[in-house]
This record gives sequence, structure tokens and C-alpha cells, in this order.
Amino acid sequence: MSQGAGWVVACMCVGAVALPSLAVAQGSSAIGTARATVVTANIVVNGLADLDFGTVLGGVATTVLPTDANAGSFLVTGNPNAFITMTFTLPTVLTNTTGPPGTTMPISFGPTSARWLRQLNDPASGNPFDPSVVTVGRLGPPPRPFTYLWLGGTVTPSPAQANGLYTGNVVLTVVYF
Amino acid sequence: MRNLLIFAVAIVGLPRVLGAQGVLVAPHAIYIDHRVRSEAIQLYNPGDEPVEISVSTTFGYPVTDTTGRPTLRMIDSPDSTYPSASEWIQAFPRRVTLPPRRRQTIRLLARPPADLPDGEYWTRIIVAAKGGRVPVSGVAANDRIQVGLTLEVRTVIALSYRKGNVTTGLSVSDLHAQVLDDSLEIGMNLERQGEGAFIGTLKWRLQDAEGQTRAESDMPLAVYYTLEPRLRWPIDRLPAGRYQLVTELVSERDDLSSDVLLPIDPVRTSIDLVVP
Repeated sequence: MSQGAGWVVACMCVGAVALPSLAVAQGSSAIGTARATVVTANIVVNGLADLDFGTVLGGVATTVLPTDANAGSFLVTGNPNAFITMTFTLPTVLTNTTGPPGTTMPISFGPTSARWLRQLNDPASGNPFDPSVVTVGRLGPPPRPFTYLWLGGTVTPSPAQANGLYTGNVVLTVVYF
Repeated sequence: MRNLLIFAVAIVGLPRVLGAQGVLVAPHAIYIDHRVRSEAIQLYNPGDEPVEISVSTTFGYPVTDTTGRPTLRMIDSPDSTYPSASEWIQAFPRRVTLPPRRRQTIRLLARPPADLPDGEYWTRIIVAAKGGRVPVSGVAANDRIQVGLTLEVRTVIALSYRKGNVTTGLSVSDLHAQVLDDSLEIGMNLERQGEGAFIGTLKWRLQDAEGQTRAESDMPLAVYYTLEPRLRWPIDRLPAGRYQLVTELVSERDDLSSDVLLPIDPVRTSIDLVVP
């Protein structure tokens, strides 16, 4: 067994122990030569908490700050110190899905509606950024190769806003270099 | 090995993960050999709810913006001067619903033109994961105004397709640096040589007049055409004096097998610095 092949086997063993439901090594072959691709790192982007406005009152704007407990939060994990870019694609209106058809409610996001921070889940220390603008972030150094993101926003129901469940779609795009 | 352990710790140590809001993508960089023409990526849903996943391609490559920070230049319809593989890399399946804590293999197949010249071709794989629920607090009812936002997460990773003998290299110019209180800012101009992108690591160390290393660090780097990074690292406050900054670009990455990295001879550069 070559040194490289041994490394593959070692990686597979560690993967099997640490991540029983996820293969972390894969291989493919070419004619006349041994060839294997060792997967030594991954990227995972996860939502930790929903941006939660709860129940709002007609005629009363409700703002969730990125530092609030009910802000949306996200975690990116990958290669230590790697650069990433983060962009949100955000709705401007929410659509009532249970009330009168076609009813909408405005939602807005300001230039400091989002924050990001390496390593730590601490929005108060996070770097403010405009969620609608491409922003460069960086994963933390070992042993915490993380970037946390937080998102707030404002909904502005009219005084005569119809009752119902208003929904919209938030897209977070993370580019890994 | 270290990265595997870090990854395992990351999964085990993930804070409370809400269902249907994310996906793990492995590996985070794909290399396909022309002789094989296929590879696979693994997806894993660590949440408690199903995730709807779609896989697509687009062309893009890293550049630096006017402040020296890396960003991705995306080109929806690259012309023939770009080495794009976006048009002939296909994912199977392209759409899948992944149950909680289950994995899915996505096979990537290359169908390049028959007359494809030797070289390296690029695309970006976009893995979009969308939850199948509308998260709201409380019980949905029509006697109040409630708000629920769904989340879609798009993870964008690199794919390189190589045909024939592909080489790379780097030329470094205009290395400059300054010490700013508790940080060190390093800038340089990088230009790729050869046919393939340089994927490697920038290492640096700051030596005092006695040759002792007072600070050092490294970071992964990818140079597809040119890059003019201006990067800042936190360092301990340094006493006044003369220092030397030594940088080294090597074809090594902690997170990638050496099998897929195009080798180069290390490129070393140094400059003198004065801390007032």
C-alpha cells in the first residue's frame, strides 16, 4: 500500500468513527494508475434561528435588530481562515398566504440589518453589513473555523392590514473560495 | 486528518440547528480529470426537517475588489475566451428532497466538446437548499397578523476540469506592508502563469533584527488570473525597530489533497519594515 493509499484508508476510518452517516472519502479510478480524491474538508451553511417577527399589530412597524434574540442567525463552517462572500437576496413585500388573496405587507432591510463575526456566536461584537450587498467574510482560525451571521429587518403593516400569515423567501448565498 | 477532526467537531458542536435550513457539501472543491469525466459530491442534511435541494452551474472566478478584498466575478454567459465548463458539466440528480440526517450523492458528469483543447476549465457548482416549511412563532390563525420567512441557502463551490498536461505558476510583485497598532497589513500583486489556476497557501512571517519570528500566519489562496490582495492580520504590538517580512506562496492546502494541486516551486519574497 502506498503512503497515499494509506492516508485514504486512515481518513475513511476517522470518517466512519466520527461521522457514521456521512462518507468523507471518495475515490475514482483511471486506466493504468491509482487515483483517489481525498475529501479532507467540507462546507456547511446552516440556519440556527429564524428571523422571527412573531405577531405584529396593524399600523405599528416592527423591527428586529440583528443583535436581538429573535434575529435570524446562520453558521458557516469550512476551512480555517478561508475567505467567503455572503449575500442575502431579500423580499420587499410579504404575501398573505391565509387571508385575502393578493394582500401584501412591506418588509425592509437597512444597511446595518446584518452582522457577521468569525469564531464566536456573539452578535453584539459582530461586524455590521448591508445584507443586500456582497460582503467578504472569513472563517475563524482553528479550532473554530466558523463564521456567524445575523439578520434583522422591519415589517410595516398598514393600519388596515388584513389578518393572516404573511410569508416571504430569504436567500443566503455563500461563496467559498 | 486535522481537518477531518475539525469537521467532525464542527458537526458535533453545531449550535441548535433548526430543521430544513441548510446542507453540508463535501468536498468543497471538485477536480475532474478528462480521462475520468465524472466526480461526485456528497450532501448531508444535518437538520430535523426535509430539505429541497437543487444543483446548478455558473461561471465565475475569484478576483479582488478595489480595497484588495477577495470576491467572486460571476459571468452568466461567458464568451469563448473564458475557459468555462458550465455548459457541459451536468449534475445527476439535479433536484432531490433530502430527509433529516440523510445523505445524497450527486454525480457530476462532464460532456465536453470533442475538440476540447488541453487545459483547465472552470465552473461553480451552486447547491441550493430550501426548507419545506414556513417558520412562525405561535399558532397560525386568521385573527392576527403573523410573519414567517422561509430560508434558502446557496452554497457555491469551485469545479476544475483538466485535460492534458496542465501547469501553473505565480509571479509576485509590489509586495508592501505596514504595521498598524495591533495588526499587520500585507498587499501584493499576483499574476498566474501557465494554464491552470494556482491553488495554494500564502505563508508569511515577521522577523525582528535578530532573525527571531515575532508573528506568522498563513491563509488559503486561489489565483485564477490576477489578484491584488490587501489583507490584515491581528498581531501583538511590536516594539519600534526594523523588521523583515517574508512571504512564501506554496502549492499546499490543509483542506485539499496534494493529488489535485498543481505543483509550483515556492515563491519567496521579502521586504524590510520599520515600526516607529
